[in-house]
Amino acid sequence: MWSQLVTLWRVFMHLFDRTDTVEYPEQKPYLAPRYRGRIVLTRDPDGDERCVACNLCAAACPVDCIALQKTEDEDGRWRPEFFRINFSRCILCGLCEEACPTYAIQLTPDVEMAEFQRTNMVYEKEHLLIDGPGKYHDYSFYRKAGISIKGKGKGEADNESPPVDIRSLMP
Amino acid sequence: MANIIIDNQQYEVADGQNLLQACLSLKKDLPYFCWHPAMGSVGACRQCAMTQYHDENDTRGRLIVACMTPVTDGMRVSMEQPQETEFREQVIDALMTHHPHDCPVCAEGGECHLQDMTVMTGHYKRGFKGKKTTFQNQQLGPLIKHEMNRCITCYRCERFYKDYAGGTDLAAQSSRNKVYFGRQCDGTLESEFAGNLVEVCPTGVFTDKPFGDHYSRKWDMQAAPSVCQHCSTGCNVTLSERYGSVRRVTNRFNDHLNGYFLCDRGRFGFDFVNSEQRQQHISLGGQSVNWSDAEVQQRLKAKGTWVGIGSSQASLEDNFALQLLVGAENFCVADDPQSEHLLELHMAILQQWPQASLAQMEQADAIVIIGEDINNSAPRIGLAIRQALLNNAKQQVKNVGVPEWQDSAVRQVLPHNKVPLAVVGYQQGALAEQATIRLVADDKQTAEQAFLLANLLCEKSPKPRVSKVHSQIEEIAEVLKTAKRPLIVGGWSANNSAVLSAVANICKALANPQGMLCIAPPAANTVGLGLLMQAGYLANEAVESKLKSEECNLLVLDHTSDSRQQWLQTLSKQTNNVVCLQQLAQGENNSLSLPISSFSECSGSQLNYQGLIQSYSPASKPAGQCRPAWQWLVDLGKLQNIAELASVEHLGQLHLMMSKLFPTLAEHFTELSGRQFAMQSPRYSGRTAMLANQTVHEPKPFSEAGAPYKQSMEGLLPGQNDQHPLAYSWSPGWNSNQSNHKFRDEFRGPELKSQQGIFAVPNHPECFWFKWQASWSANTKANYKILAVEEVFGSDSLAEFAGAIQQLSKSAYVVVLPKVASSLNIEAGQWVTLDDHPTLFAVKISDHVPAKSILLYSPAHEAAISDGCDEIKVASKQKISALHKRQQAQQDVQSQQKQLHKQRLLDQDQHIPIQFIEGAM
Ligand code: SF4
Ligand code: SF4
Ligand code: SF4
Ligand code: SF4
Ligand code: FES
Repeated sequence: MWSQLVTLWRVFMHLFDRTDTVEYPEQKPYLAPRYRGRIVLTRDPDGDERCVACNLCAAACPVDCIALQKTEDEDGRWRPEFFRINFSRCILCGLCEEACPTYAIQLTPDVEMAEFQRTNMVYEKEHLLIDGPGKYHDYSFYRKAGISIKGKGKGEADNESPPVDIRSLMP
Repeated sequence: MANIIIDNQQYEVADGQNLLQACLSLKKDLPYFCWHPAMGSVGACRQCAMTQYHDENDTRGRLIVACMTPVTDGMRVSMEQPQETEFREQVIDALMTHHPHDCPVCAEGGECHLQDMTVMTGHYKRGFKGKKTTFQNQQLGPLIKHEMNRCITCYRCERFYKDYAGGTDLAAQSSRNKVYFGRQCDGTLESEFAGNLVEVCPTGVFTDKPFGDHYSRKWDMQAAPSVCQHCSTGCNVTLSERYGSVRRVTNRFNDHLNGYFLCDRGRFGFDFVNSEQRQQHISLGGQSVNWSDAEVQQRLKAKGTWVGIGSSQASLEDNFALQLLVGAENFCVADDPQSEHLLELHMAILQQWPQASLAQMEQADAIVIIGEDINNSAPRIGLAIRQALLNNAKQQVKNVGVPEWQDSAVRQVLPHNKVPLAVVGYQQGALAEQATIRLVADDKQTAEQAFLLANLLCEKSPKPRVSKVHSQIEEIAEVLKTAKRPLIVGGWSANNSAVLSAVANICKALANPQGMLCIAPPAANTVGLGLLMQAGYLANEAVESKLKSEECNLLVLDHTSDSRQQWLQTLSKQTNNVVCLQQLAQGENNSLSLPISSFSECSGSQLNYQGLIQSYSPASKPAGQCRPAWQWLVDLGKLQNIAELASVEHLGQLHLMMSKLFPTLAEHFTELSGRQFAMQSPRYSGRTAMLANQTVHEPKPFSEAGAPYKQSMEGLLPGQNDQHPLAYSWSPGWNSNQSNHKFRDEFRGPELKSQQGIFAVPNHPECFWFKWQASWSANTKANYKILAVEEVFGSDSLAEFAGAIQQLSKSAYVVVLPKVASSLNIEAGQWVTLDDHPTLFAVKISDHVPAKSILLYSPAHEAAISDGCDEIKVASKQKISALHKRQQAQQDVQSQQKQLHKQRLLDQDQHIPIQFIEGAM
């Protein structure tokens, strides 16, 4: 009996609390940068596409809503020929972001995605690619990787020594 | 059998293996790199460390390398104690000190043995803080990409390329942490087995270049068990598909045929299915038309006899449907009378003599190759024969108590323990160069000498008219008499029936129950046609007269060879109604052609050189209006009221009808039914996005009626049902092709099990002598007899439609004797013409050319030449410069086409043909 009274009292006292509900869409709640909303593809600090089409995000995706195809540029960089996310299937779980070895794919705090046509929820690369590095400002995969691309030869990545001369007899 | 104790558990394993092999056959996860089941052990990587204990009281034990330790009865070892697991982790740590940060951009990623082993040992962090060693890469040609930084120096590449396949231009160079695996300088890898480096190398140093141009991860590809289409060996392959196009071919293990290796013609030749020339629409005289168009219908319903021409490039089912439609008496099986005769003879021999499998050939202790260029006509068989050459050396090391998988020991004693290899004939190539006995002879002399050889072995064997026995033949007879498991190899290369007969006679004369025979027919399903031939056929020579004498229509199953095209041109003069079922559009003419699916898009079966029936499943779906040929033929049957054929609705019914006619096939076809296997891996990605640009409704997974597979992630996984061929090889923790050991009872154990499968041609043990025929003695009157030779790249007309193979194909050449060259004043490398033939030939000079003959190679798509020529002339300057221009133009076109091809495939990825998926749109 006592506990029921206490409960009633507490509920009553909530009438005087500050309200958390806001008048959406006039007023928008704060969403932290790490919030998991609409997915973007970012660029590295030099402004090049970060995504190397490794397909790990697609493999991690539990609803299989990412499809892409690798192609290779003249300058040796791997790049997606197309990159498609079917947001009508996406559950915004963020596993793709976790899987991505290049910080290319990131979830943003934008959650305002609603359409009358499911087909409009299908985003291609041109819809996904943004101009900046997103949440991670400094990372550039190709500075770490051993493959050579235009402007970065063998042995020029971080922590690499110049290519060895295999004909040399020096010890 | 030996009893061994691993981690205090007792197991029974086969004798004669090493400990690593034993652990893997017990399905244990023991990491390793340098050992390979087909190449033995060298102990280079130390990854397979285990601990061996003296007895049960020994608690410390000592570290051993499992792959170098033979299993012995009662041995006591551990695999999971801290000391060996830590050691294995340290080994990976050391191997990875210089490893680049490449996995996301590495074509090996997702099927990398190094990734698997790293995860398996638990290594996760680079311990060494210094800088990484780096290397420059090499350009290794159109097939293989090189990325040397990823090497872990397991030496597998060199051991495969040099020791196993006999290549000379790839080796280990330099020393200590600078060891480098590559060529002396940039250049195309010469060996026709170079493609295997992709699978042999446990890392991403060597990767598949054409595949890299249109790449997909292994886990993302829909894979189907298939059979190679580029020679009669019938190697088992896996086809992988993504977004509607076939991406690559990889080896599918078959212990009796290809084992772990394919040749490059098979690995890269499949690309013809993606070729620009693939016909996608019904066409009439070059114009696209529809099935229901009046003119098309009129052509298809035309009155008069229908004459059908079968094809050794088409499946057994397609040929059978054609035979049903036109009737056996109107079904022609060969392009010329000579091949028809060879086929008849071949089938007669096949009925008498079972053909050895490749694994059996590897056990031969004497080899006689008669008039066959096995290296080029069936490259994988050539590689198997190469392995047999080690047998005496293996025996030798066994005699002194060293196991035969001790590869370097075997190779040490090899020079002094050669297996006799005799080559009779004019064929060149790697095996001929290794011959211990070599007799250079043209096809006729080869046949005569082979008949005499049979006669030397058994007096009852018929003799030809000549009687001069060459000393080499006598030598061979001696070798064969003493050999325990001799192997006789013959084939169609010499295009001479006498050679085939002689080979059969030698077998009979030998009367050795352990003796082996192998006769190589020219195409993937030649023997299939031979089987159908037994139900009756229309003789090749009768076709033209039949067309002349009565109102006839011609129905042709497509074959890409030049001789077929030429023959069709002559035939089409006799009839106005030619209907072709073709996969590759060739030439403009007045025929009606129906586009058919390639082997990657439909189910089918074919008979290999042994008469072994093997079936393939589709990896992708047909595009455009393509359909399997048998389906077109059934529709034709409906139009023409052929009741038997018109009732067929799916392949199973056709199989049933075939089984009635050829009861041996029944068992194979019933084996195929049962639960369906999944063609997509459990990690297949993009299912709900890849079609989303066309439709957001996800279609139902596709499969043909009654087919044993499903183009879906659902269904049986690899290894869940032994009856099914593996769609792809994968097992938890083993993403690379090394997962093979999870699916086999014995991991290349010491004993060879007998070959599984159905041999379609029934064996009749009673056999007869083939008589020498007078007509075989005829000689050409021309000054030089022309003897045709083949090349791995260039002689298979189908593979020529694959860009990578096209790039490697040689241009035409002739080989002449030095004395002919000097008398004509020509030098090696010069261009010559023969009589008034338009082609220019590059000159090669060799001692191994029969007298009064020249050897000639001309690519599959260039007009064939008659069998003799009178004059060899140095080509005029204009002609040469015209040729150079043509070649240059051709190269430009090729590289342009390569770019276009790549772009076309990439564009196609976004327009997956979905009209064939049930429930779509
Ligand atoms: S995981 Fe990252 S780099 Fe790889 S394909 Fe996805 S977005 Fe691109
Ligand atoms: S070889 Fe294997 S471990 Fe090395 S980069 Fe390639 S995928 Fe990664
Ligand atoms: S290139 Fe590959 S196969 Fe050769 S040693 Fe290096 S890792 Fe081994
Ligand atoms: S040997 Fe013949 S069947 Fe085997 S891969 Fe080569 S071409 Fe194909
Ligand atoms: S696999 Fe045993 S040492 Fe390499």
